[in-house]
Amino acid sequence: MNGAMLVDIVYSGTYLETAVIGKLLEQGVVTPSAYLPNDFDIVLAASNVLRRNELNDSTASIEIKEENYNIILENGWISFAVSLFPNARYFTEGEQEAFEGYKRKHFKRFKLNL
Amino acid sequence: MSKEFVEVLKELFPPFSNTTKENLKKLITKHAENPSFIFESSIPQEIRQGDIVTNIPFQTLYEGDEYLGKRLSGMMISTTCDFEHEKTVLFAPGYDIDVFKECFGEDPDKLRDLRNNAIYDKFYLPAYLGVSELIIDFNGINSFSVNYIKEIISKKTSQRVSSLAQNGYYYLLCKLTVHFLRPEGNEILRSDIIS
Repeated sequence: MNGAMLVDIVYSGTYLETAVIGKLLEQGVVTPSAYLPNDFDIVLAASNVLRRNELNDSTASIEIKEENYNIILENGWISFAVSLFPNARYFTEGEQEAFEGYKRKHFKRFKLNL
Repeated sequence: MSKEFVEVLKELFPPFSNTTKENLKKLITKHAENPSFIFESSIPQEIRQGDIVTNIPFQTLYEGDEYLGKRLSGMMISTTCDFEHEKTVLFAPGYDIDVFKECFGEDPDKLRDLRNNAIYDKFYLPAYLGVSELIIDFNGINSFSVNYIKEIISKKTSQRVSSLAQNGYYYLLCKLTVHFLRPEGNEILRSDIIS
């Protein structure tokens, strides 16, 4: 695959496609190219090609054979998303209380009789 | 959990390899602080997941029968398709960064964590095209009728002020995944599905 093949691809997609493309990147089936603005666009564009192939869409400009990738479902996506934020944390109790205090101070109080 | 079920899970949900993770992480984080990486340069015609709409009345049942409410900008959390097909959709309130400056006294570490999207239930969006920095609070989500949202937009009491580009959309999905779907810790004990 090269950038020229990807230029006309209209972007759309789902997270699942990104996961699939991750596998393609790993296997060297897809490589970043200077033809598109950034690497991530390459990933998204390539994912579209995948989808078109899966739908047997004749407009797909390349062919990626099934044996070249494994569909990676939710577990892979979750694992990836969590890895993006290695230092993720909850608000501390003090931070929570400060935020709640802000709301108590600035929000309107009212009652609903349901 | 039975060995057979574990095998079924492995087959259904094969994990990312570390190489894949690292590649994708580089691709996303390299551009995450750049507003043009996150937002569309103009607002699309149809409302989409991740759009910011101003002046939405959020409320939380606070204590007893007392609510706390305020009009805030909000992010549509429901999927784009839900807005077309469902009667109600979810919005999360967005807070100006100044709110947290007031809360934390401009503590640089706390503000840095917010801006780095290191807080589980908060999604930081940088300023872009006249819209100031926003912190989306996933724990403040409210439900609204689709007709109400359409009405306040058409009557211009509210405005769609930003929409996520493809990269920003994926970034939102990552944050939603981490907040709502990250695996529970081992201290949470549940019964086996298959004994």
